[in-house]
Amino acid sequence: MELEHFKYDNKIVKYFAIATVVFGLVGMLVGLIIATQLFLPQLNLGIPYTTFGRIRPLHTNAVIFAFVGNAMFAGVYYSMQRLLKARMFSDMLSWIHFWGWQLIIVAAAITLPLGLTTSKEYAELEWPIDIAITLIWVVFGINMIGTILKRRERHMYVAIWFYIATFVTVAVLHVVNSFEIPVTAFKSYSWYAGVQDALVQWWYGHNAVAFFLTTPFLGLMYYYLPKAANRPVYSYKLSIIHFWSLIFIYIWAGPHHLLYTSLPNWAQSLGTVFSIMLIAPSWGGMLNGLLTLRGAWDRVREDPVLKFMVVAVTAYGMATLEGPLLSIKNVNAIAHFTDWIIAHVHVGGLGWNGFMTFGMLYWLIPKMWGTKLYSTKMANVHFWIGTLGIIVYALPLYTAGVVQSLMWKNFNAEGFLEYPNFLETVTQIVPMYMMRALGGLLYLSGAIIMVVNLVKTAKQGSFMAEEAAEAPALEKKKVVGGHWHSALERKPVIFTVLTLVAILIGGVIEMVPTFLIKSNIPTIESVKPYTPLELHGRDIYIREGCNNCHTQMVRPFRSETVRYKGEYSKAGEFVYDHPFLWGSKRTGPDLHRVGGAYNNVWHYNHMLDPTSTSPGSIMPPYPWLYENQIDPGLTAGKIKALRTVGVPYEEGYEDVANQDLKAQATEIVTDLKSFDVEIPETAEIVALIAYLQRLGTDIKAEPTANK
Amino acid sequence: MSCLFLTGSSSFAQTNGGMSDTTMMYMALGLAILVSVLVLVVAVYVLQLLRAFVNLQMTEEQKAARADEPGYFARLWAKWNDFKPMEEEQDIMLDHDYDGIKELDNHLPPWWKGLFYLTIVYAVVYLLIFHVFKTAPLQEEQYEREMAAAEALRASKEADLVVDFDEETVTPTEDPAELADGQKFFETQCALCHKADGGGLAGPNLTDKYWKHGGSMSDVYKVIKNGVPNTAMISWESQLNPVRIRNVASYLLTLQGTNPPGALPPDGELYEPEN
Repeated sequence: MELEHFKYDNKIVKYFAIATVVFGLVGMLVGLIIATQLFLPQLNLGIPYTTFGRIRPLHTNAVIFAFVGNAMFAGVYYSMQRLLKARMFSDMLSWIHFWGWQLIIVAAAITLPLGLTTSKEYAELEWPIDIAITLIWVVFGINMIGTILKRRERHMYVAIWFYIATFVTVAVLHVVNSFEIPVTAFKSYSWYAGVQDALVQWWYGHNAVAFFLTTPFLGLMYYYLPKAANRPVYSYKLSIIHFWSLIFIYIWAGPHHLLYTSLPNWAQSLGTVFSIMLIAPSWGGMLNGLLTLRGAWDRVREDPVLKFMVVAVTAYGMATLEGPLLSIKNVNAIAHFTDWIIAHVHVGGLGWNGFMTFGMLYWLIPKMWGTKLYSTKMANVHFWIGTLGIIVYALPLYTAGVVQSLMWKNFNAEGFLEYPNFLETVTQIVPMYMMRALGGLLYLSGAIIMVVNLVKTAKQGSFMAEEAAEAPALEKKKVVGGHWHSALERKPVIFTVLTLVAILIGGVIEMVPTFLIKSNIPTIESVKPYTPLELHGRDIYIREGCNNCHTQMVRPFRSETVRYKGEYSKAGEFVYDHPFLWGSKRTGPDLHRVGGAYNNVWHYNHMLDPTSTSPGSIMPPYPWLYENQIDPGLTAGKIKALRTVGVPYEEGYEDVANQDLKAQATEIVTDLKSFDVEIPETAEIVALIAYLQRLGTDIKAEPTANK
Repeated sequence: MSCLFLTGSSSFAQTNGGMSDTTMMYMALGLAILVSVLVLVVAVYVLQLLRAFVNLQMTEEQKAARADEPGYFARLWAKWNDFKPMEEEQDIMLDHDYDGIKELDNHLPPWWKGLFYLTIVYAVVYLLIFHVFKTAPLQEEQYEREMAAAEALRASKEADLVVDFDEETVTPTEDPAELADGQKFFETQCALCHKADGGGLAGPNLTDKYWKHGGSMSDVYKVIKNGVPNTAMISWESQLNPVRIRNVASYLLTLQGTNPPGALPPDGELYEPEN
C-alpha cells in the first residue's frame, strides 16, 4: 500500500493548551477567594457579584469545564491524531469547537456572578448556554468520530475507547439533566421536581465526575504516560476489563450522593453497592498506569513529567477508594454535608486532574516547540509545592469534616444536643478553613511557576504548527479473526453503540421506576404549591446560591430531628420543587424546617447583618435584597411555566396571582412595622422571608403524614 | 471490617455514662489502631535484629548470593501480581504499535481479580440483607430504633420520679438546686431563641409582663410542655420530665422585671399576678 503524506494540526492543540493554563489560573484564583471568604466574609467587598453563593459555582464551573475541559481537548486533539494517524476530520469544526467552548466559558463567567443560575450543581448554566454546550459538544463529537472513521490505523487504541465513552456519555448526561422550561431569556425551571430532580441531578453530577474528569483523563494517561516513560502499557487485558466494567458500573453510583435522604431506599442501596463494585474497575486504571512504569522507576526520580503523573495516578487511586467507602451508609452518615467531601473531591481535582494536566503540559509544550523544558528545577519546585499544597489543603478539611459532624451528632448525658447552636460547630473549624486556604495558595503558586517555565520554554523553541507525518491508507479489505475485542476495535460505530448501551442501563433502571411508580414518592395531601410571593422568594434563594451553603434535607437521625425541631424530610414534601434545593453541603444549618422557626424581623435583621442575630456568623450580609424590588410582571410567566411542568395552579390563576402576592407581602410588611421596620412591599427581602417562612411547614398541617 | 460496613449506621443513642455509641466505637477503634501500630513497630524491629544476626554469621559468598536474590516482599508482590519476569517481556508484547506505544498482555493481577469478585459478593449480600431477607433495618426503621432507645433511656432515668402536681396545680419551686437546674437548662437550650437573659431574640421577651400565651405558672408550664403549634416553640415534653419543666418555668418567672439591656419590645397581653 502506498504511503500517504499528511500533517498533524498542532495549532489547535496550542490554543487549547493556552486556554487550559489561563482558565486554570482563573479558576484556582476564584477557588482561593471563596476559600478565604469562609473565614473572611468581607472579602466579597459587600457586592452581590463576588458573594460566595454566586462565585462558588463560578469556581467549580471554571475548574471543571474551563481548566480540565480545555486540558482534555488539548490532550485529545494531540493524541487522537497520532493514535489514528490522521489529521482531525475538519479544521473548521476544530476551530468552531475551540471558540465555541471559550465563548461558553465567558458566558458562564458573566452569568454566574449575575446570579443567573439553575442551582443544579455543575449544571448551573442557564438554558441558552445549555443549548450552546449541546451544539459545541456535538461539533466535538462529529470531529472526533469523523477522524476515527478516516483513520489510517486499523485498530482503535485504549485511549480512543475512553474518548468515545466520554463523548457519548457526557452528551446523554447533559441533555437529560438540562430538561428545563424557560421562563425568561435567562431563567428556567427544571422539568423534574423534588426527589426525581435530585436523582437526575446526581446521576448527572456523579457521572460528570466519571465522564468529564475521569474517563477522558484515563484516555490521556494511556497516551502520555507510556510516551513519557517510553515503556509498553502493562496489560491489554486489564485495559479491556477495566474499561467496560468502569463505564457500565459508574453510571449506577449516582444515588450515593443522596444516602439518608428522601430518595427511595432501593435506589440508595443500588448507589451503595455499585459504588463498592467500582473499586476494582477504577483501580484497574491506576494499576495499568503504575505497572507501566515497571522497570522505569529510576526515571521517575529524574523526570518531572513522570513525577506529576505518578502522583496523579496515585491520587486517582486514593480518591476512587475513598469514594466507595464514603458510599457505605455508616461512613456517609458522618461525612455527608461536611468538609470531608470537599477534601475528597480536591484530592481528585488537584491530584488527579491537576497533576495529570501539569505532567501532560510539561511533556507537550517542549515537544510542539521542538525544544527542551526551560527548567527542570522549576518543574521540580512546582511538583513539591503542588504536592505540599494538596496535603495542606486536604488534611485540615478531613479534620474539619469529622470534628463538625461529631459535634452535630453529640448528645450529652441528659439527652440533649451538646452543641444546640449550629454556629458553635462552625466557629470550631474556622482555623481549619484558614489552613485550607493556605494549601490552595501553595497549589496556585506552583501553577504560576509552571506558567513561567512553559512560556520560557516556548520562547526558546519554535512552534511547529503543522507536523508532517506519513502512513499507508487503510486497505478497504475485510479483516477477520483475532480476539473478539480486537475485532470490536476495528468497528468504531458498533463500539460506540455498545458504549451507549453500557452507560444507559444503570440510569434507566434507576430513573424509570422512580418516575413511574407512585409508591416511591408517597403523596402528602397538605403539601400545596408555593404562593406567588414565595415563588419570587425561592427564585431569589436560587439566584443568591443559598443552596451552596444550606441544605433542605433533614435526614432521619435523632440528632437532626431534634436540632431542626421537626420531622425528617419526606419525599412527598418536594413534589412542587422545580428544581429541588436539597443542597450538598452544610456550611450553615439546614433550612428545611426553618419555616416558622424565627419571626419575620429576625430574618430581616439576619439577612441585613448575620452577626447581629448570630455573633460570629461567617454568612455574608445581603444589603441589596433591601434595595432591589421584585418584578410582579414576571409572576404570570413563572406560574405558567410551572403549570406546564405539572404544578397544579388553576387555569387563569396567573391573571390574579399578583393580588395574592400583594396580600401576603402586606401581611409581612405590617408585621415588620410592629417592630419599627419600614420596607416597601416589593422589596426582595419580603419575598425571601415569605419563602423561608413557608419552608417545611405544609406537613405540619397534617399531624399524621402519610408514610 | 466488612461486617462493620454491612450494617447501616449504628444508632447514636447514648448508653452508660453519657458516652455515645459512636464515641465508644471511635475510642475502641483508635485504641485498636494504636496497639496494632505498636505491635507492627516492635515486629519490624525484631525482624531487623534477626536479620543483623543472620548477616553476622554469613560468609562473603553467601552475602553476595543473597544480594542478587529479590527480597521476600518483592517476591510476594511479583506473585500477587502474577508478574512476568522483565526479561521475558518480549513474549507477551502485542504486535500493535500506536504512535510508538506498545502493549504487553500481562495477566490480570490475581489480587485485583479477587478484590473485584469480593465487591460483587458484597453487593449481592448487601441487597439480600436489606431488601430480600430484610434482616437489617432501612433508614426509617433505623430512625425509629434510635428514637426508641433515647426514649427508653429517658424513661429508665425517671422511673422513680415523684410527681405530686399536674399542669393546672403546679406552683413555682423555691428550692435553690431546682432553680439552678432550671437556669442551666434555660441558658443552654432556651437561650438560643430567648437570649440567656430572657430578653428575647427570635422568641419573645420573657422578662416583661406581656405574654402571648398567658403568664401564670400554669400557662408557662403548659407552653413549655406542649409547645405552640406552627412556631419554633416545640413541645419539650418528650425531653423534659415534669419536675424539670417546673424547674425551668420557675426559673423563667424569676426573670420577671429584670429589664435586661436590648430586650425586645412587649408582645402579647398584659398579665398581672393575682397576689
